[in-house]
Amino acid sequence: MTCAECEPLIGRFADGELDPGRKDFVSNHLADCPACVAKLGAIREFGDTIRQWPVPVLPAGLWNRIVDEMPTPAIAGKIRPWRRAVPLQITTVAALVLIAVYTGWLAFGPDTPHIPDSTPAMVDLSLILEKGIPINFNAGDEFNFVSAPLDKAKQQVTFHVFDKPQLTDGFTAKQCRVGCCGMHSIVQTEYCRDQEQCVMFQYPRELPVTFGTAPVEAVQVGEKSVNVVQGKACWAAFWHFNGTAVTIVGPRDRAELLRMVAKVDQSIEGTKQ
Amino acid sequence: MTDRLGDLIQQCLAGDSRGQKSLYDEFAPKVYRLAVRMVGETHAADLTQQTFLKMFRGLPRFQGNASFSTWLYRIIVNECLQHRRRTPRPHQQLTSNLPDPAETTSERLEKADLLQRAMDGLDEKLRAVFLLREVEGLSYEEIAEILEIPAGTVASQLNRARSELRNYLTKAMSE
Ligand SMILES: [Zn+2]
Repeated sequence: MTCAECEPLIGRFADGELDPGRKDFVSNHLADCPACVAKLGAIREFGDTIRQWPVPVLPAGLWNRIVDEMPTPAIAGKIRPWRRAVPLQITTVAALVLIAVYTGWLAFGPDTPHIPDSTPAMVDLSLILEKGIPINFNAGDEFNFVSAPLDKAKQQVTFHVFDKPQLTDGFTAKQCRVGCCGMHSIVQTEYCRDQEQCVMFQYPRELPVTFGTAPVEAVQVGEKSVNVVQGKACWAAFWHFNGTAVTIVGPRDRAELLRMVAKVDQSIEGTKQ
Repeated sequence: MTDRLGDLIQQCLAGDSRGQKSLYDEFAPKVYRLAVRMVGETHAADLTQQTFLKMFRGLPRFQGNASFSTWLYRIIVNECLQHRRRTPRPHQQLTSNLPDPAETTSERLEKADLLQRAMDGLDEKLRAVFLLREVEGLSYEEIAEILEIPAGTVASQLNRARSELRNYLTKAMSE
């Protein structure tokens, strides 16, 4: 083993993250190489030094600040799992979640059911599939969206992002926003071609996205299995790899949707580390 | 998940404020420590507060198939990264991280000071990976889950963080 081969493995060696075979290789090399031993020493010294920094003392009164900010029901013992708090019937759940997602778009009457604070940040696309994309759509207020150029958006999240300004055949990125609900980040990009619109969401695969009751079909695109959803107004597709999930919603043409999927997937796969 | 932690979570879900306080007592020191190392003392308390509020709000949808601490770390790391986006560098120098001068030799103090400066110069995500490994003692797999990146990426980012720290220190000590 040469120094060039050894060097990228020294960190893993120090962290005990090497498999036994490569561990032996590194050990043997270290036995004869003072330069790599010095690098190992430096890595260990960083860790030792930083662990000797004094442990910060939790500010007194912080718990009281948290309690003051908690919604009253949580303190009063009313916080409940949301699934128990609302009827399980899927259409009702979808309708309730929509209120959070589409605030400001659809008007609801005064007898609208209250969404408990514990409602999960969830992206519900059933209404888009049913009616098409509204103006100024966003995946949900819980995500505290901020605008960001595509290249910046990519730097602000820990998952892979398709960052090309062109999707397919004239669909051009009009707006990109990055949001985070505290649990998950999401990148929302809107693409337009004349009057046509579609939206792409990129997020960690754990983030729940629902399509209501629209039929879902598994379709093979290249080597990947992609879920394609047929709505009344438009199509959607979602798939994931390596912890990253992508959803595209909005195309009126199924073939166009599949071209988008292929383009995005190829591009993201290309950046795989 | 341990039975005790599971019980605490159930108590929180039932709205029991003692359960909430116990969960806070158990995890707040770690969350706060990471926040101080990530963004400095001035904002660490606010971010810890936000993290616990989000955790309590999100608890009903916590499935228990991920580790609770992984989830909590993910919230605080996201809060810190978002904070750094809102308030770009230069951020507060984390002088309180340095050892007490009375307890240390001047050489060690100098090294600690240099390492602190080197850390300040690290990209936020690299810093997060580095801290999760070196301070929190997490495995690559755990870090990968928190940051939602492949474990191979954790390894390469740690390599990058360490080599940037080393380069900074080498340069600073030769000056
Ligand atoms: Zn060597």
